[in-house]
Amino acid sequence: MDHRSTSTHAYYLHGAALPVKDVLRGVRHGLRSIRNTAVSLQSKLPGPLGALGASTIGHVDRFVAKVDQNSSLVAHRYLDPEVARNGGTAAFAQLITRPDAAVLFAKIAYDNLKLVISYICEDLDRNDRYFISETLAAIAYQRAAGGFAARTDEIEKAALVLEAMLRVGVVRTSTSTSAAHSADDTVRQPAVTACFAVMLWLLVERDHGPEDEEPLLLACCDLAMVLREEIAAAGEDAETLADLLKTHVDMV
Amino acid sequence: MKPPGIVPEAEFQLPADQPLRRAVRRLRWFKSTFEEQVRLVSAETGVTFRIDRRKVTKCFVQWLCAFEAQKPKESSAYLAYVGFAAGLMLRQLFVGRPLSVDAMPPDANRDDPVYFWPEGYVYVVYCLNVRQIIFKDEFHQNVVISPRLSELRTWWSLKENVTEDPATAIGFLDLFAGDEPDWLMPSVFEGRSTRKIEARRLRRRHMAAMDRPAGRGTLPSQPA
Repeated sequence: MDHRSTSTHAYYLHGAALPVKDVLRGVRHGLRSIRNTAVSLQSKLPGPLGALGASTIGHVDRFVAKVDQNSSLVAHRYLDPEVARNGGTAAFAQLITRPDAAVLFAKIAYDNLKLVISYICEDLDRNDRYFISETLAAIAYQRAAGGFAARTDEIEKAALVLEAMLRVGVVRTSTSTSAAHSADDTVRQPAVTACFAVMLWLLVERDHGPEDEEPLLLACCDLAMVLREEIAAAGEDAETLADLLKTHVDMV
Repeated sequence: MKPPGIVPEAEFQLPADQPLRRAVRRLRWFKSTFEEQVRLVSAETGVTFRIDRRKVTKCFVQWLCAFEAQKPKESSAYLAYVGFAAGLMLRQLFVGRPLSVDAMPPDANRDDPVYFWPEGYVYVVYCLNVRQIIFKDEFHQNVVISPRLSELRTWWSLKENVTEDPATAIGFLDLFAGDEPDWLMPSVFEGRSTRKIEARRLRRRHMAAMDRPAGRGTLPSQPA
């Protein structure tokens, strides 16, 4: 089997897995929401009905735990590409040379956007409203990659990816199909800032081991928070986003 | 608990594969060394601090803008610029105030500068340590810390002055580092050396006048 057919096979295998992963995550979130609603209702039920409600919630809890465990196992053991948060694969320059770059990027975006958004929000109830679509992250990368040939600068390529991430709505909420386009500033800002932080992190020159990746990501996140007004003003203009990334990438 | 009175020498990790002068202009080095300094002061004094990481980042970004804005082109000015840049950092820390005190030890002696103003103390020793480490590593020079660092009245003056005008922090850092402060235009690098030479000359004349029975000088060695 030649290299091309192996990588093509891997691409379609992993590419097909992305929507499945998104669906599984949706199921897990839906079950958790049902369980939380049941708990709030149970507290309002009188005596015997309350006890019955508690027993039902116990059943739901066990079911949720089972589905959660199984879907998580399926998602992480069998569907994830072999990627970890480390200096070898996280650098954007290395990522774009990989034949499975779109899938790899989607996985990196999913893992790190989750972390960054929870860091930005620092409020779990609010953080729970955000969803990251790995499928849309892969689509965003593919769309941006169409413009790579016309650019030699990696930062400009990264800005194209960032623009596409914002356009396709990789970050979503329960009420908005694209958090980056939400009319609610408190929903929009964390999503846009998080996407910028992850792209900035991917562009930073590595001079450390994998154990320092998370502090580096959070440093990028802090910087993005400081720059949030400028990032918001850049909107979805790839050139302005590239300028912002260029100005600040050596600062991290 | 050890009474400080002197700068706790921080052993900041030196960057492995880049010059220190480059590393200090990176957020990750700044954040890690600042947090290390806070840990050291905490361990030595028993004061616990809360760090606002976003404010730390903002301080760094604004400091770097100020640093780049006045960076000299001539390499002969680099040493002087390191001292000035450390002062700019101190000014920014006093403006941004990224630290707050969570708890003081019950036996804290408020006449000791570190307990008089714990956050200010961390800012000052951090900037002195960074200044010192660059002087040593890049220019092979030692910084001799002034005994003024232990004087409570200097800290009163520092607190009062930086509240009114944060730029005076630059002069105070020079003073603590045993250097001649530039009180006239503390936040302007251009012409700083000349102003310092002139200030030193005037101060010597003032001291000489003080030694004479009828003489009274007019120039203070620090702002009131």
